[in-house]
Amino acid sequence: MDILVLLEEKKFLSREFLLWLWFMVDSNKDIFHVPNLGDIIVSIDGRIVLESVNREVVERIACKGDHLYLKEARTGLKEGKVVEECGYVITVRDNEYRLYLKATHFNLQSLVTPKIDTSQMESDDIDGIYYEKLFMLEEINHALDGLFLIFLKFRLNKEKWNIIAKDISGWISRG
Amino acid sequence: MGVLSASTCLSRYEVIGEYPEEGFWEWFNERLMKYAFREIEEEPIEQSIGWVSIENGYDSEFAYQSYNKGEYAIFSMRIDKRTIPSALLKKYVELAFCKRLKESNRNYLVAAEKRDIKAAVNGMLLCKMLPVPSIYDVCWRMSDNLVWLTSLSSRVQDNMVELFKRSFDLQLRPLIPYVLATRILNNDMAVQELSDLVPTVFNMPGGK
Repeated sequence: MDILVLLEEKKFLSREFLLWLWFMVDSNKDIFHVPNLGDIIVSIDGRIVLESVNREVVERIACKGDHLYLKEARTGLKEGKVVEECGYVITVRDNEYRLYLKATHFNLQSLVTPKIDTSQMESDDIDGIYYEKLFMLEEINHALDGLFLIFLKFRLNKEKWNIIAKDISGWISRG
Repeated sequence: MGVLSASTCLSRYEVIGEYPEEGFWEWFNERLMKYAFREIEEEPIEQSIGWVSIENGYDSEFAYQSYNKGEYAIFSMRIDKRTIPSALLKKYVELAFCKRLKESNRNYLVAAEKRDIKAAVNGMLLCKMLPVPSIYDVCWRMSDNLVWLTSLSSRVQDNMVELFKRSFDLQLRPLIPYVLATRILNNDMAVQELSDLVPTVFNMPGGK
């Protein structure tokens, strides 16, 4: 199938992933076990962008990620809007990453990785800095793929997903 | 915005196609050099695109094989572009039209003449504009055929896909969510179930 058709037809999958992750974090189920990485901790940080669907004019609202504004974003969900973008802090081992994920392409935006400790490196060890950075980029990519895989396993299990979807619906309606 | 920037961005791709595992670095070096960045300062060319060293965006010789980082090949794509401000182009085209009318002692120009004059003015101004460079980093992890590019611009991404194809004869497929899902599920039955999924209706009582 053409990539643009896939992008449009299957957009709901990544939007549901962002919604599920928000619901999990908000329900204090914010620790996820990812093979080879161990437990990773996710929190919402920065802004959440919601979009209206099935309307001629796309309506967008952006809410900052503190408690008060998240409540406003939850109201948007109640009105039928969907999550298009979300900011996260993801902690893997001792490393803290900040980034935004957009449902459409799943690109990593405004990615901030931990500072590289150069105190143990030779002053001209540029290779060491690149290796360290590549390790971090690999780690955060692996963490995101791991989170997405956890979601997909629930999503493909009808019984489990029905229970989760019911919980998410209740969470949305409580606002 | 590069890999080492404090804040960066990544668009992700999977590499489709075959390339030599044995002698990889010789093959890679040859292809990279063939499509390395060429300066256009002295030529009336609008744009130049090619590969440069990640450690120095003005080095297209790749001294010391700076791209070789173990299981990664890291390098940069440089795009130099000359841009003529539209108001400037308009001014010089008008002046050239007036000059031609005066020289030919006529009060009109035919469409073909106008087109030729515009092209000549465009070429003349291009030579006078300095090309502006922009540099984007590329990380290619050979062990699982993944490529990261430090740009989210669709224009830059299109340039990257095209240059990568020309250089290495390999396709880059964007890791959009559905493609990523099929890749990480890595199971035919699950992928079939995935393709049959329909959106969940959440905000209804007892959502489906």
